[in-house]
Amino acid sequence: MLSVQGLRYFYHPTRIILEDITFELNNHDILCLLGPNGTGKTTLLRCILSLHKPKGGVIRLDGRDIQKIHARRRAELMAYVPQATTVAFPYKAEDIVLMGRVSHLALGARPGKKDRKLAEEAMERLSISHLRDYSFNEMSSGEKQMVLVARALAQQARILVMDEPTANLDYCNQVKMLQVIKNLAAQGYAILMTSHYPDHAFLACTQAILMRDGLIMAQGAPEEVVTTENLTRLYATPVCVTETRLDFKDTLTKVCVPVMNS
Amino acid sequence: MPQTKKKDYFMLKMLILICLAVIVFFGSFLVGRYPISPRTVVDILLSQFTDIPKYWEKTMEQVVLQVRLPRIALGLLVGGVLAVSGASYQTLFKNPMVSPDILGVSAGAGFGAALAMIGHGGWWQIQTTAFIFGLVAVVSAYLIAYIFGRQTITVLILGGIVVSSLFQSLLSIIKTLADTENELPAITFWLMGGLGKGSNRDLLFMLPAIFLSLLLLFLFRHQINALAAGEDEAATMGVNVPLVKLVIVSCSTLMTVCSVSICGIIGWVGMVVPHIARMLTGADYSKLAASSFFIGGVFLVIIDNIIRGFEGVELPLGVLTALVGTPVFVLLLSRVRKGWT
Repeated sequence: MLSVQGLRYFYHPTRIILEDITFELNNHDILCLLGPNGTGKTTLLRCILSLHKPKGGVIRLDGRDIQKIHARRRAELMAYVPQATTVAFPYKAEDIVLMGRVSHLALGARPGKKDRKLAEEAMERLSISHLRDYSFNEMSSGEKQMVLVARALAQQARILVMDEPTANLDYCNQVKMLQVIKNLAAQGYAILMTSHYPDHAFLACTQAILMRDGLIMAQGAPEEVVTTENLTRLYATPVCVTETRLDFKDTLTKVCVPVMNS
Repeated sequence: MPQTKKKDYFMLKMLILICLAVIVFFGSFLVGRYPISPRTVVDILLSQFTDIPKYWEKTMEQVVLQVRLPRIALGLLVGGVLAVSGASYQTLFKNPMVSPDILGVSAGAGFGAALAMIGHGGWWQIQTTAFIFGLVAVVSAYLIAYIFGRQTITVLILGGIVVSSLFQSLLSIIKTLADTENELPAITFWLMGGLGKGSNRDLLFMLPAIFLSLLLLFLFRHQINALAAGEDEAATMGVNVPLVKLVIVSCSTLMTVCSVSICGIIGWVGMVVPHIARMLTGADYSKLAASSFFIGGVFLVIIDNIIRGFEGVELPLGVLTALVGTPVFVLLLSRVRKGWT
């Protein structure tokens, strides 16, 4: 569905932000981008979302060059779930979700029954229907993040690009969000997300890309690339990936722990 | 936990606002120094369309048709479009403190009007130069953002502030050059705003521009609404952000410059009425713009009625809007506690 080939980007030619980024994302995939701050993860997402124009390489959606796809059509193929912030005015959750329908509206038309139904279904799928009439700004980070996912679902795109969907969330909401992401992938969505938690690659993802200084350091199945050596190199900090038998499970679970030499 | 959907009664609220506007419109014909009975007002207005024997004096007809009609209609329109412009800019800039003159339109128009006044220009010339310089100011602000700021919102606002202060300095120069007997008071009064100078002809001149602007904003209302989520997010939702931005800025500017060139600078309405409207119909721009229009119009006509009701002095409109509006706003704020941020 989404393919990125040899992507290159810079704000200034002397300082390359992204170089030779190549990967593919298909239905049912959950791809996790890992890397330290300032390594170009967000820039990569912005290139994919056409908010930046790549300086080299091609991004394709269903085989077509993304720059040749009309913005409205692109919105029907790919939706963006930003990090939850505040909006300037007291919008209700329902208003925010309904915004996702804007690419489907003809000029001058207002959201019809079908649009309202889709917005409602999107909220139901994430079990947040009860938040419908609440002010977005008065919600917790977890609830806000879910509303933004609902907006992306209402947009009816099959590719979801999520910028740190688990940032600023407690364990309960992290797990909830990862479960939602897994469910969506099971239903055929393709998900590209960034994260600062390598553990999440094990918990939910089918692929991981380790990015450092604008280059892909390693990519592949999480079990293969999220290793002690790779993470230690990636974050330039000793990180240990170990297997442990959790109290209530028979299988081994991989966990990542940063090591402090005190 | 089963939840029933709360109705927002938007249509009902709009119906009430429209009725209110109609009542205020006709009721305002009764206000003024020259007493005319309601029956006569209705008959004079109807006599324009049907044959009614004229039992009233000629002056009465003149007062109703040449003085009160343009003034009331102008109040309704100017209040409405200032509020809609304010609501549009607040949504675009994601900032509750923005008013229609953020990009310099009032400062430019003020300078233009003052320039025409010390040049001994007539009413028509004052309007035209005000109109032109209002546009010049906004186009300059837009070009600054376009050329130097890659069209970012912050640079656009900054451009507006810079251009505003430039025209304000130029205005100050003109004020010091103006003769203190006639020109300076004239400039000062013009800057404080008033509906008294508008004629039916002015009204006809501004109608097409206002109609076109409102129509465009209406057509793009849901795209504008998506901009409240931020330009980048709106773009990923399929909104043509540069186009919608241009529509907002040009429509708001055109409407504001029309009002300012006829009525001078009327503050407060463009910034605070959208907040009152938001308390009533919510933040969604498609509803906000509609309710802002009627609340702004009704508000300005009522304020102007107070001015017309006063014997002897004509208080400046721009001053009274804030004087009356602020207590009203504070009262509303204490009644309707809605999340501001």
